[in-house]
Amino acid sequence: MLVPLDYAFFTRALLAGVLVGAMSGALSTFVVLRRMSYIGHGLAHSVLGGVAVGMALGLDLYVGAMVATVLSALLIDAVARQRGLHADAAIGIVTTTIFAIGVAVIAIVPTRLNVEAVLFGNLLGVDRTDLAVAAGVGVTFLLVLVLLYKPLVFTTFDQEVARVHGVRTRAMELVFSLVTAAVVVASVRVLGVLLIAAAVVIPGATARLVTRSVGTMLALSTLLGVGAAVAGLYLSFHLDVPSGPSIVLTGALVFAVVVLVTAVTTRLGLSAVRRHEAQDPATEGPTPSSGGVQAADRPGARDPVAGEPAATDPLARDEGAHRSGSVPPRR
Amino acid sequence: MSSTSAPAPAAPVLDLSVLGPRHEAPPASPAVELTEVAAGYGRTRVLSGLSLTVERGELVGIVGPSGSGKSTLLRLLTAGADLHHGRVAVLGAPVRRRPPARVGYVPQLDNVERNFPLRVLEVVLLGDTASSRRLPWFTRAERDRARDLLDRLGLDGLHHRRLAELSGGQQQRAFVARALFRRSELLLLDEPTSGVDPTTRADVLAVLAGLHRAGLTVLLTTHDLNAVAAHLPRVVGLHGRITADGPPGEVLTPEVLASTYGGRMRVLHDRGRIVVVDAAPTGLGPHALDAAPVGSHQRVRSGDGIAS
Repeated sequence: MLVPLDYAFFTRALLAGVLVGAMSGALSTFVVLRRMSYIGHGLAHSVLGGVAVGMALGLDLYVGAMVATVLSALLIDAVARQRGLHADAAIGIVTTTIFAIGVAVIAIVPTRLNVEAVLFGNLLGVDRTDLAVAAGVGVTFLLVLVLLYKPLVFTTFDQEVARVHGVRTRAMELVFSLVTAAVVVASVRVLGVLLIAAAVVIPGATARLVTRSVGTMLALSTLLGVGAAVAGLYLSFHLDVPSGPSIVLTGALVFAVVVLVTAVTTRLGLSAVRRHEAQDPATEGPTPSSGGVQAADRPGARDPVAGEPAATDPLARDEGAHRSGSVPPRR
Repeated sequence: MSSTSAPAPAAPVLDLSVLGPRHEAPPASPAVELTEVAAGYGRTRVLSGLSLTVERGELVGIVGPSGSGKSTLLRLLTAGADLHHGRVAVLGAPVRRRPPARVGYVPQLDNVERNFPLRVLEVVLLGDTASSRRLPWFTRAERDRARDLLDRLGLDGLHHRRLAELSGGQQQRAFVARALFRRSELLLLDEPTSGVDPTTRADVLAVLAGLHRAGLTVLLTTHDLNAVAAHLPRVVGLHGRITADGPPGEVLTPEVLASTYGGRMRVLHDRGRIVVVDAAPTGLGPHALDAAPVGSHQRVRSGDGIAS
């Protein structure tokens, strides 16, 4: 288990993997809730175009990638604002165009670009620059989450009402696009452009199945992203497969298990309700619309589906303390 | 359209002191003032020649067919539509690029992602995001205020439910609470009675009537003419322009409805209630009621009342 840590390259890859896993995991919460899974796919394709053009011009990999993804994000935002066009069309047009430019440049201009490493990630290729980029993007993303969590959630939930209620929703959309672009770029070395899309969807989709609040979903998807990255990197080392596929396959496996478990749990719960009804048809439990206080309403009560505490969301952070009076007021 | 309106339940006066300081007396400026407005989206014009004044403390319903500009009117008041001509002022301030402060908005239930992982208390708290502190969690004072508001709107005990676990009426109350949470003085509601059962509809309208009695200005759009007739003191007919403006008895007439909706409708009166039915066969056959024309209206002689 600890043998790979004897290698400096693996330690660097592991650090980068933890950062990339945490970022892509956290981002996936918003990607899933916004139903914008396609954005990661599209922006990742833009990276290849940017990297190819950048290297043809003698620039660093990250310079080309960042310019291409930020340009893509801005163009997607601009095209999507055209009346009658939706974001999926904008993403499809903009990112595939930039991807096509990259493919054409690779065919025409000879470069040192290792296409396979860019496409699938390269454990051996993680250097100090990659670590610095991942750390920089991670800190920026964390700041965005801390300072803009509430407007981001409001905009994600109900953009029109958020706008009327004074939230700068266009700015939030732009911030989200730029953060997504930055996370995608920072993830290129570890995940590869073809597999980034999965990394910014799978953790959030998995967490969505077992959580009932945005805050918990965010925390869980971040942990899942980190877990998949660490496990995937070890698998990559031991099985000698590219790091991107091993990380994505680990996440996909967890997703499949959670889908299975939740399906079985739901079925068992349904059977229990039917048995209860059959035994005592006169007994009618409280319904959601009955207005009564149910177990789930009590602070600290556990979610019957997810088994999570009812008040773990940052938005609900003071709840239990308030009711019990066990924690002094937050100032 | 052909269903009858439920009797208006007595609307309690809601204590809105939890919202913080409000105007003691109605200020001189109206809540909404549109002067010779033409508006739409880009070059597409939806509204034209529109002049409308809603005084503070009024409860007004905007009625009109689909595409008549009801939602555009609400967007115009919140800087969400393009003003081509004229002047729009809300709560005394001209509306330009930013939505006016102290305006709460309640969307159509159909447009809300009800499975979104948020609890009712969180939904309400988000309503004042713009003036809340930057950190990801809310203060105890904000939570207390949101809880009080939910309790006053009859949602006590439901603070920690997910939105999807509430009935339609409870969801509407939660969204009204969110709209009020930013200390709104004007409440805009986009078809609050759309897609809800008659009991919920009466419940929602009773809440709005309570808010109105508490001094709030409420402007709503609806297709539900019978609910308008039963609950709202003022109705504005809209079809790209204003076709009528006044109490339900003056606006809900066959002539006005024909000019607003472009089709014939029957207006029946039963013991002071107004009932609008389609002119097309309604199922209310000659045995169900006996209508005789009284002026432009018809008076119902059925001893059993209408469609109870």
